[in-house]
Amino acid sequence: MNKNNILITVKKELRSMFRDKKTLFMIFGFPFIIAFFIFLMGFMEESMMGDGGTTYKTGFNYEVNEVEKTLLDQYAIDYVYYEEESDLKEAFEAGDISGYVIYDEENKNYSIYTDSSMSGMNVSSYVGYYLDDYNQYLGNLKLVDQNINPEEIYNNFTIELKSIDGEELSTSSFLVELVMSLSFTYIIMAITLAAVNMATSAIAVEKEHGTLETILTLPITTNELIAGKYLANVIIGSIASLIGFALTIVSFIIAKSMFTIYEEFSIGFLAIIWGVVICILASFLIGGLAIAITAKSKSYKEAQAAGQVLNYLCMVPIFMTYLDFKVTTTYYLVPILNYTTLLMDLYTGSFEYINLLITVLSTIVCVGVVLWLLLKTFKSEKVLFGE
Amino acid sequence: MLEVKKVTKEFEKKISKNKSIKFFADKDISFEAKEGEVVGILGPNGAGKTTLLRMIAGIMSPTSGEVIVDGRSHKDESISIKKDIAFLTGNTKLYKDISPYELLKMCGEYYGISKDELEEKIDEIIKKFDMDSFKHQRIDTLSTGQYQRTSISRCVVHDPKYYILDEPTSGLDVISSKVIIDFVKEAKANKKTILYSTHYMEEAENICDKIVMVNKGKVIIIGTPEEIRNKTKTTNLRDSFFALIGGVSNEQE
Repeated sequence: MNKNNILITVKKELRSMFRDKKTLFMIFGFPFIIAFFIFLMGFMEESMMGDGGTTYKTGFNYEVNEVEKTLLDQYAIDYVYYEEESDLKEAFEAGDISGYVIYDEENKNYSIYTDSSMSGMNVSSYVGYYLDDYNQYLGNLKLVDQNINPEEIYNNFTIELKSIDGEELSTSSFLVELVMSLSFTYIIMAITLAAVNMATSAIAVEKEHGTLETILTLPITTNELIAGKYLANVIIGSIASLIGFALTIVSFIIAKSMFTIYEEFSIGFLAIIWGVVICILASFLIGGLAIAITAKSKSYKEAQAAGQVLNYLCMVPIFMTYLDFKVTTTYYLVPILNYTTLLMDLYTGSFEYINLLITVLSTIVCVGVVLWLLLKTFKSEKVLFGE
Repeated sequence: MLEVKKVTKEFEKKISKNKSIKFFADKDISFEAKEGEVVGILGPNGAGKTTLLRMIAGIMSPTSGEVIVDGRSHKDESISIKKDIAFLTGNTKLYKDISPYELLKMCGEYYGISKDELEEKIDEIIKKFDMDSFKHQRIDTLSTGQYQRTSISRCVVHDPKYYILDEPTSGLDVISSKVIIDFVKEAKANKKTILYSTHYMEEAENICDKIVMVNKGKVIIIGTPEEIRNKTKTTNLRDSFFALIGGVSNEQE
């Protein structure tokens, strides 16, 4: 093979890609979706938990005592007093408060008024928690008046939550795992989007526009041509995934200082190095697969449709997290899925070198098969010139 | 010298999900083209001209037979042969997102021309084809005339010995066609060998030294335009063609 011809082809493909706005968006724009998603999930989770510093201005038609004040503070309710119900309604409609509470002393009834917005739902939940706690507090006072220790009434038994697999159990750990699974899936997906787009224009569009025939008249073999196109695809895929990876890590680091749900997220130098290796490995395989899948397509549309298979395949790890699928060592033999899982392992503390080794070996074998298939496919005149 | 020896190309065409038929695009085609000769490959659409030229250019392989260029066969020296050939078709498409300058540079690099020599060559070509005003413009913004000149300029960057022109004037207006005809005449004057395929019989009559007439993938006659006219007792190649095929061609079937 003539290395010079391969290099010229790589240069030609890269130039063409960097002049295509759609591919540029795939490479540089798409990773920002990951960052946006990480912050969005952090914000949403903390809004729901009420411990993200966000308080909800809520109107009350009664004055609260010190105990109630403490409880309201605990549940991030910002207490505002209004004398009349009409004033509360007016303030709510003007957007000054997220909800309001009316206390009917005669019937001993609290009514919580709010709407179906996120802050409205939070106000209804938190005011509900405050009233439950306050109700219990009043009950306790009555027991103490009758010389009964409330602890003897309520503490009949204790509850302990134990993890079967040794992992720490918390409601936010599943969410963090889900965010990670989505983020790392997006990184791998950035490769497929860029690689499919590039493979489409490198093969199908060249066939559709007739430029493939033009280039084949030049002193270049089909093997050199395909090798050049493949390497260009690997480079584009690597750039897309590395930008996505860097942005994801930076986003997690920033989000860690902003949202408590990410406080467990830790990043080490080795994890970054292995992350880069995994992204490049994935680009080698997906770059080849994208060309192989789109090779027989005669038009842009056909090639894009064929390439969707790769995008769908990339999304499998998300569903696996939803279904709480436990991975075994053999799972790391499965190409594409193993990259996302391995990236997750790096940041969830379950990374093992044996799994990385299996992934590397699986990738080498798969890349070999894909390249063999590519060279065989492009020997066919039917593929080059159509039926 | 370029020799086409008993070249046959068989294709398989799918006609339904489980059924396919085999047919010959070209069968046992033989002829030769000497230095400075313009050989016209004439025939109706579907006669097998494009497939034949693709095999001569080395972008398709014959099912049997071979193409010999200056003693070299495509079977083992395709790359070296390609360096001596330029292939231009009427529907040659160029990369839209690059400029004529970048196209010439890329082609020159593929032909292995050294950097300094290539720069000189490109300057020469740009001057010759009057491309200075649009050399850095994207190809998809060029006018038909500018596009045509760029197409031809791509073929001369490596100063080939052989030009294979497949229906180069197809679909062009009179002015654009003249650019091609003038180019052929100039190349002939420079002792280049040209294979010129067309279905415009009059055009071939004017510029070709030798005619290879094909129909249904087979050569039906070879000779100078005059020899063919005399043999068929006709006054022009169009009538000669119809006299030879008895009025039925692939296209009409």
